Amino acid sequence: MDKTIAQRNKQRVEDTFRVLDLMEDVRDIWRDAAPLQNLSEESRAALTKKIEKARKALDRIEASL
Amino acid sequence: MSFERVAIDELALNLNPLQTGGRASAAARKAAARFSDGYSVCDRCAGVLHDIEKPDIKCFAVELAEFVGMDRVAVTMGAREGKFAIFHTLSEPGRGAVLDANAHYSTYVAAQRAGLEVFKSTNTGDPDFRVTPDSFAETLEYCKSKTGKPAAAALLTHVDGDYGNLNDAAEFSKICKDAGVPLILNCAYSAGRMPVDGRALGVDFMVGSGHKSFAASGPVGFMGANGEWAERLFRTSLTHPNKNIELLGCTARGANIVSFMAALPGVKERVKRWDAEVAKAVRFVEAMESLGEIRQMGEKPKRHDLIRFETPLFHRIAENSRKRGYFLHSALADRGITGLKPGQTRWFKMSTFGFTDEQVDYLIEAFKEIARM
Repeated sequence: MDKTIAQRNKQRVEDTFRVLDLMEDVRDIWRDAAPLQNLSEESRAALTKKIEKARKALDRIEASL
Repeated sequence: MSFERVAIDELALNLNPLQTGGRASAAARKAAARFSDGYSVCDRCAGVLHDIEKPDIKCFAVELAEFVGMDRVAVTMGAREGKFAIFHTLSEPGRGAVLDANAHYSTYVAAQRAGLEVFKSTNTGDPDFRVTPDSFAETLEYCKSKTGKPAAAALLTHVDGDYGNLNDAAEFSKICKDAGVPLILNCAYSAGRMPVDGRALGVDFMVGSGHKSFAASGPVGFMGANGEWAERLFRTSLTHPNKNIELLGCTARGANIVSFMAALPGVKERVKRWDAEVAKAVRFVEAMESLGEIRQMGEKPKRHDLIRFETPLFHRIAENSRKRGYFLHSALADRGITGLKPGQTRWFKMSTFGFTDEQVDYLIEAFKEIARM
């Protein structure tokens, strides 16, 4: 396989798992705040950061199509 | 077909003691996602599951053995599979197995499947339901008098699933040693939640549960042996010399084992907070009993997070409720709390394991509100 294609594919899969991993972290934020999900400032900041990172990974996947 | 769960931990506080210690950590879930394909740990297998180095099952088995204080452990599909394997190793025709009075049904089934006659000790009954070393010694003696030989094995449930009583295993192991009977410690409700050291407790065998107490997806667990017993338990096949007989060659080989592996670092940290977990359970019991007509059953003060309550208060409220026996389950569900059996109001079992102090406060307030209904 062409090296560029191999690298592209690897990056796509890594980004896919990155999104999944970030969403697992988000699940823990919900779990720790259940059942009311009233987030502390700290949790809210952590959640926002995770969403941003996931969005970047999704953007990279989309850009690679 | 729908795969939506009834109890979702992101939305509700799940009190089911069977589930609180097995709530998979993010690390465990991430690892499981990478190994959800069947036989996925076998990419680099040379024929022995516990020798696989990528993922590093070989190191994990050593690390787990150190963590629980056993000379050697192997991953199983759960605690019950480990119990059967050990009973099967020790079983001989006409021999018996001595079990504590609070043993789980799977312990009986495992012993029976291995061809052993079961001899059950007594407990102290209401209110403590404790298993005493004396009753265990008497049962060992009784087994010997009935079968003509010492029991092939004795099994002590370290923490039972009915009352959450914690047995002082070291006392029982001394009795078993004096009687010449190998002791199996069932740590399904202890190892992974609290510090456990098999060597310090003097036990010969140990089983534990990944999905019950190690924050792993499962089905997964472990069995371990100390000293010369390890040779017998982990004996290999004559026809296939690298295959363990009692493991049927290989056991967990996918998302279950890697989730167990990934969960271990977090578990090592959480057992250091065991005193805080017990304090939470004690605080919760005090708050519940202060409502009146509620009694905690089993040893007091609690030394474990599994709590059993007798709750005439809720049964009385249920009798006047339109929802009758379902009122408690329904009232809890309205408050985002789950894990109790629908229809149960006379008594229930629950666990506070892993909840934050704020979540415990929330639970206490919820039960207070329901008590006023």
